[in-house]
This record gives sequence, C-alpha cells and structure tokens, in this order.
Amino acid sequence: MKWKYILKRLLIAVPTFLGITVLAYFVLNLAPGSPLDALLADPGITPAELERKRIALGLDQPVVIQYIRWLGLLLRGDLGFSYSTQRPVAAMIGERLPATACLAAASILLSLVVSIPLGIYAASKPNSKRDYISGGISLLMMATPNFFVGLVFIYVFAIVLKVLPSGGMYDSAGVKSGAALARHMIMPCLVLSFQQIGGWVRHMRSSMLEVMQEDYIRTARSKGLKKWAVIYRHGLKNALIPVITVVGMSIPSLVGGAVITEQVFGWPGVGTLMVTAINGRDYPVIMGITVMIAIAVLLANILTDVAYGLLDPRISYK
Amino acid sequence: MDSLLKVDGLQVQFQTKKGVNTSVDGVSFSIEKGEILGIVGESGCGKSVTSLSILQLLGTNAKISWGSIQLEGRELLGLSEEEMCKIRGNEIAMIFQDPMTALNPTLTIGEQLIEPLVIHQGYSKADARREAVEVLKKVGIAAPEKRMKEYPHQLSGGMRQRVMIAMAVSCAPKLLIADEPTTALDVTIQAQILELMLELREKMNTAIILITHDMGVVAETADNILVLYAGKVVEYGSVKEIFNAPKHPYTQGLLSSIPPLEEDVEELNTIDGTVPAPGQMPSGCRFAPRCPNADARCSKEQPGLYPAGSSMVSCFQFAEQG
Repeated sequence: MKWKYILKRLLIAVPTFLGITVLAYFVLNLAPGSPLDALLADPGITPAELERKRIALGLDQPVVIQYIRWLGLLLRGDLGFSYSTQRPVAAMIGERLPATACLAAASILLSLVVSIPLGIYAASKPNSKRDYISGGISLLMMATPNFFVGLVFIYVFAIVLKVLPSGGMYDSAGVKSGAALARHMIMPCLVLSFQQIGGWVRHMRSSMLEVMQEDYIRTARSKGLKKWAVIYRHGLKNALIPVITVVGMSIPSLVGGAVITEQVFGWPGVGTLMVTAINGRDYPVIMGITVMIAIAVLLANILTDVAYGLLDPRISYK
Repeated sequence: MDSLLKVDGLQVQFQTKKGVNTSVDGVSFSIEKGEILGIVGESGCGKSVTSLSILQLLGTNAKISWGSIQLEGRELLGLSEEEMCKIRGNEIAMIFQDPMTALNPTLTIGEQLIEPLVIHQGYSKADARREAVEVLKKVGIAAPEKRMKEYPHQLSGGMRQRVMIAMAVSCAPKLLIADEPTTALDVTIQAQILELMLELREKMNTAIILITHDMGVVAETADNILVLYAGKVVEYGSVKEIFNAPKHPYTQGLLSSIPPLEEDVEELNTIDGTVPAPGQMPSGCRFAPRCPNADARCSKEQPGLYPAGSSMVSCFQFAEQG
C-alpha cells in the first residue's frame, strides 16, 4: 500500500540523512577560517580570552567528538546555539523559514501554471512560428542570471513605474497584512520563476513531442478525438511523468533559499541567513540549515516518487 | 450503386531530408459492404501508408498528393479535420498492429472504451460504460466489468487486441481497417482474433481491410486480395483466382515462397534481389530488376493494370490480351 511504501522510504532516508550530516560537518571543519576569527577583529582581546572562548565553544575537542556532541543534541531536537548571536539555531531558522517557504511555493506554482501550457502550446505545432518563438524566449529566460533579472525588474517596476516595492517583505515592521505580503512577493517570485519557467517549458515541449509520437496517440486520433482532446486526455498525463522529476529536483534548491534573489530583494529568508552564517563561520547555524535542506531533498524525492505513481499506473509501490 | 469505399489513383509523398519520396503511387481498389479485402506485400510496400491515408492519419511529413478516396460516394480528401473526426472511429475504424503500445498506459480500459461512444453516439458516460461492457462481452472478454477498471498493462496481449477491436467496433463502423492485427500475437491467439473478426463481419456486416504480410491469414479470411510492391499495385483479384492462378511474377514468387506442408523441402524458395530503396525506384516496372521474365521494355516503361482472367495485373505479359 501507498502509506506503507512512504513509511519504508522514510526509514531508508534516515541513514542517507546521517551520511549527509557527517559529510557536511567534516567538510565544514576542513574549510579555512574559524568561528573565533570574528573575535580577532577586536584589538583588545587577549590570547587567554580567545583560548577560554575556544574551550567554551568546544572547539578544542577533536572534530569527531564535536560531531557526536552535535548529533546528540540533534537527536533531542536541539540544533544548538549560534556562535555569533547566542540564540537557538532552531528559532533563527524558524523565523526565516516561512518567508522562504512562502516564496518557494509561490514560485513553483507560478512556474507550473505558466510553463506546462506554454510547453504544450509549443509542442502542438512543432517547428512552427509559435514553436520557434517560445523556444527562443525560453532559452533567453534560462540564460539570464537571476540577479540581472532582479535588477531590471527593480528598475522597471519600483523605480520607473513605481508600482511595486523594491524589497523587504512588509511595508513597515510590525504591520503584517496579506496584501502587503503579496505586493512584496510579486517581484522576487517572478525573478525566482524566470529561469525555471524557461527550463520547464523546454522540458514540457520535448516530453510532449515524444509522447505525441506514441502509437496510443494515433489510436486516440483514429477514434475521432479532436486534436486538443488527444493532447489533453491522452498526451498530458504521459508527458508530465518526466517533467515531475525536474520539478521535484527544484524544490530543495528553492527551500534552501534562493540566495541571490533573497539578497537582491532583501527578502528575510533562509538564504540570507545562510550567507551570513557562512561568512561568520557560524557552524551551528550552517549545520542547522544543512539539516533543513537535507530533509527537503529527501522529502522532495519521496514526493516525486509518489507523484510518479499517481500519474503512471504501471508503477506499483512495493 | 456506389461501392462502400473507393480508392482511386492514391499517391502519397513523404518529405525527407533527401527530397520527396513517393511511397504509394497510383493505388486503386474498392470494397463492398461486408467484404474482406486483404492488402498484402512486404515491409515498406505502402500497405500501412495506404490504410492511414484513408483515415488521414499520416504524420506531418507525409502528404496525399493525388487521388480520390470516396466513402459511399462522398469524397474524403479535402474534408476538414473536424469532418474527418466525425468519420474516424464512427464510420471507419482502425485496429493497429501492436496492442502493447496502441493503448494508452495511463488510462483505464473503460476510460478508453467509452470515448468513441461518447463522441459519436452522444451517450452519457454512464450509458457509454454500460454499452462498453456489452461490447467487451461481444469480443469475448470474461469479467468485462472488472476489466473496465483495469489498465492495459494488467491485460495479456490477446486480451488487449480484443479491447482494441472492441474499441474499433463499438460504434458499428461500416469499414474496419486492421493493420497487421495479429502480427504481434502468438499463433493460437492469432487464430482467435481472426475468428473474432470474421464473426463480427457476420453479425454487423462490417467490411474489413486486412493488412498483412501473412499469405496464410489472407487465404483464410479475405474475399479479394490487393498485392502491393514498392508502392504500386501489382495484382488485384479474388482470393480464389490469386491463390489458384497467380499471374504477376511477384505474386507467383510470394506464393512459392510459402513452404508446403505435405513435403519436406531442403530450401525455401525466395525472390532474388531486394526491394528498391525509396528514391531509387527503377524507371520502368518496379519489379523488373528482380523479375525472371523481364525484357527490355520492362525496364523502360511502366506497365498499367491489365485484366487477366478475373484479376487485374500490372505486367506487360497481359497487356495485349485485354
């Protein structure tokens, strides 16, 4: 049954997850620099003080011990405290995650809604004018870097037309209205979807073209179905199967925070937090975000497989 | 009275990178109500292209460049796509070679079966479902209610072909085109499927165009035979005439290559040479390079169709007798 399958997949994901944390923790410790570097900026600090701090953070212990301590805390649901702010990491991520998740969900939804019909439209008449135009535009969209699109959008919509705010999440701190959120989200969401739409349109088009060559499409036509009925009833479901993989793979990177887009728009999401943490070698925060992304990757994989099964009856859950 | 289907001078051209290839050239035949016409020939001779032309289901790189196709006196070439949709699956239906790939893997048998009933007969979904169960019974599928909810991969090859047939005959078409309906099936299933098609012809008076490369299948089922070679008709006549007295050297070659059952033969008869590649057709008779009786005229001029006995034969041997 489906639930048994999902449970099994979750159990298999546990060792994978542990592997990811081991790798991340040790690689992180190999990176040059140390959390104590920030303290060196203070000219008055003495070596003794520095040493005390090192011991306080547990950095004097071998990496293996540090990892085991960290894992022990994790198993109790504790991600530890940030070296720089002394606040619980879970709380720090917790207050950033909704902003990122909100943006990610909106971007996936927008990309799907735009690219699936557009891909089908391009494939409905291969090598025609509509196909070439949509192919050209999607290639251009794929090739344009996010920060550039972001800056152009800010210039056009916030500076010239003055219709959208240039950054942030709400108009003023404290007042949280849905309308303001929506207005602030339009641009980052568009920017985040920009490249994605370009790629997905091309995937959808090629997948649809391939499906339209299948024998069962000819059968459907021989029954007297009209062109669009053939495409939607017989083509779409089959053509979506490979596209699902691409969509599933984009979930983790969006949840991990679209770093550049968040930076450009001052979006208070996980991406911004991660950049700050990496610069300050704030190990607990970096590891906390790694854990979050790892979970997103693993869940997205399971979700993709379940979606396969929903589209293709030949796949059974065993 | 008009024939049920009359194909006249059909010419189909394919656009390829190397230029235009004519894959079917001047094919003419007609079929009456309840008749079974076998179209035979080897791979690439234009059998399938001819049949797909009738329903105008050719790919975008193919074009019917000449000819006429009339269904009960009504010209089909030049009809709009919308009008063709009303004919497909309703007046003319088709069965394809490979039932593994010809059914949509993501839709249930029921969903696929009710489509023509809903489109052409105006049934509601519930009525169409009821009717579809009846059709499944008619084609010999056990537990049809259960099968309706299943997907193609849950059925055996023979059952899938029965479903294909059910789908094709659900709107009681006047003409059924079966493109190698038994080729992908094993021999015992083949016989059952042919039996079923004969039975349906009896019950519904459906005319059938049976496309095959299997002479045995044609001998058992067809009334008339059209033999194609390299896109042209080489011989057209009744089964009796063609099997008893094949006239065209190609037909003779085809029939003599069937191993006899009564005696052991060391080696099978074959026709020397190969079919000319598209784009490299000889200027005279297309069979001339392989023909044991060819003379100088054969490689220069193209023969027409000449009456010989009750058949029509495309060979100069019979040109003067007419």
